[in-house]
Amino acid sequence: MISMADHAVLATSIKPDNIENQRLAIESWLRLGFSVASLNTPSDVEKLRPQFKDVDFFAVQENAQTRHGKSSIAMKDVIAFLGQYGSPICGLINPDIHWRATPAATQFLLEEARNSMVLAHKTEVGSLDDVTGDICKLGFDVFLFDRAVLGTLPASEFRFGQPWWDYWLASCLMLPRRFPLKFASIPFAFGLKGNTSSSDEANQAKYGMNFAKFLDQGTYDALLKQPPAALKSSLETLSLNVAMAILFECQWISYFPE
Amino acid sequence: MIERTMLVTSVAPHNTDNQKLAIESWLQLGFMVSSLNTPSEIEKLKPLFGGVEFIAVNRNAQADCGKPLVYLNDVMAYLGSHGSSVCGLINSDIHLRATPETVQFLLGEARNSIVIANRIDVNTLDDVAGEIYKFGFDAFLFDRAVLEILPSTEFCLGQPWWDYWLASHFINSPQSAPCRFSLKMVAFPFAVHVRHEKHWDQGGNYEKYGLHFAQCLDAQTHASIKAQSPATVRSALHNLSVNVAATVLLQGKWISYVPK
Repeated sequence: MISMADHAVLATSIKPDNIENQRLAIESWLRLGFSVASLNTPSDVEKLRPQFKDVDFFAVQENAQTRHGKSSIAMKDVIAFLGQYGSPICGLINPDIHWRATPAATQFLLEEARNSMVLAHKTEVGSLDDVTGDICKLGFDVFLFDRAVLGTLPASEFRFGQPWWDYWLASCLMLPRRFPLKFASIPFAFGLKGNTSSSDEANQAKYGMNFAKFLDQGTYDALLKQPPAALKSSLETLSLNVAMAILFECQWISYFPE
Repeated sequence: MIERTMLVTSVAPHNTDNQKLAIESWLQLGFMVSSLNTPSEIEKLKPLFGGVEFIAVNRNAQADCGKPLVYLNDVMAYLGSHGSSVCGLINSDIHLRATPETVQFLLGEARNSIVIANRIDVNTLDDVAGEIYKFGFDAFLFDRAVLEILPSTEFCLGQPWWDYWLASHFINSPQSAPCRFSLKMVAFPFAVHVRHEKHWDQGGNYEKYGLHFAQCLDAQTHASIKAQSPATVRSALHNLSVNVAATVLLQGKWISYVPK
């Protein structure tokens, strides 16, 4: 049987630091048959290509952000890339996520992604051998979706690797509801504790405000009037509300391990 | 001697084949199983459910909801006097799909805590995938000390809202001192349920027990829902249930176990 993973591409953006962990993570995707593509700036591609031989690298234009060491990639570039790549099922995944699932469970997730979008949390573990860990319920680290979804995504200023892109991507399917949104309540996406690079407060606020604007002008206008300390707390509350709204909008799917 | 963990339920007098399979899955995992029922039900059920200890209740909810259901108060009182140090409350048609290691992990997590599982709806027990029912909780494992903080209520097993009420006791609010027990949610496949016609949403019991839940929650919520027209009470209660479910999900620690 041909695995569906053979027809799915996982897009990511490998970071130029902490290479070994990302290599192990990406090997877990490749073993399941996924094609893997990494979008990076030309200078990062040059550094990373020799270290990730089975990954297709695609150079994106540098801009002010990438030039200043913020190697995040514009979501519009990721979306355009996935559209051109042509896989019927597309994935977007943070580069430090280890995929621990059987081929059958992976196949299930890919089937569920047809005409839909499947999203998942990561479980943080102390070591890759751990059988249990902490689920990060605020934020989504893995997306699998039908290529047709790409045509419905509006232009945005969100960046893969910066906060709020995950909430934005999931929310795009809620307003309006053109494709079913599914939450995979199966622990298959693992991240090592201490390997998550936290975003600075300025970017939290910047992209949080972008999200508020995307959500509705009234929310954005109200947040705009707040002093920085109040704004931080309001954005945290907004983030909790959005996470719960997404989860409640989703159909929750589960798969039993063999 | 290793203590066996007690799961308590109330076996329903219908659809016994499915419940038998469900309870066998608990017994196979080493749980001790007790079922609270009326004496007449016990007479019918006892020969069908080997391995289950039946406990007769001396009152039932016939007058309240039209069925001889068991009060949650009686279940909790039984667990208080006979339960193991970690005990469980589970709907009688829930099949547990877990390894002994997974159960040990959950029992460990239940110490000084309450561990709650949503059910996964399947069409048949052979299904390898299913849909999680996020608007209800079907299995609870908890430290027996949890029983000390639970007040008396009118809820009964087999009618809605008792699960929300139980879970809501472990939600922290800014107005009260933090709960001394942790709230944890099972975030991996564990509690399986074969889809069937629902039996609990009959004769206005959703509204009746929903209003009781609102009353237990706070007087203001209760008054505002009660003041609504009959047509809007149901949707107000639905909104309340979504809020409670969301808060439980938000405040609960999601726990995961992946066998090697």
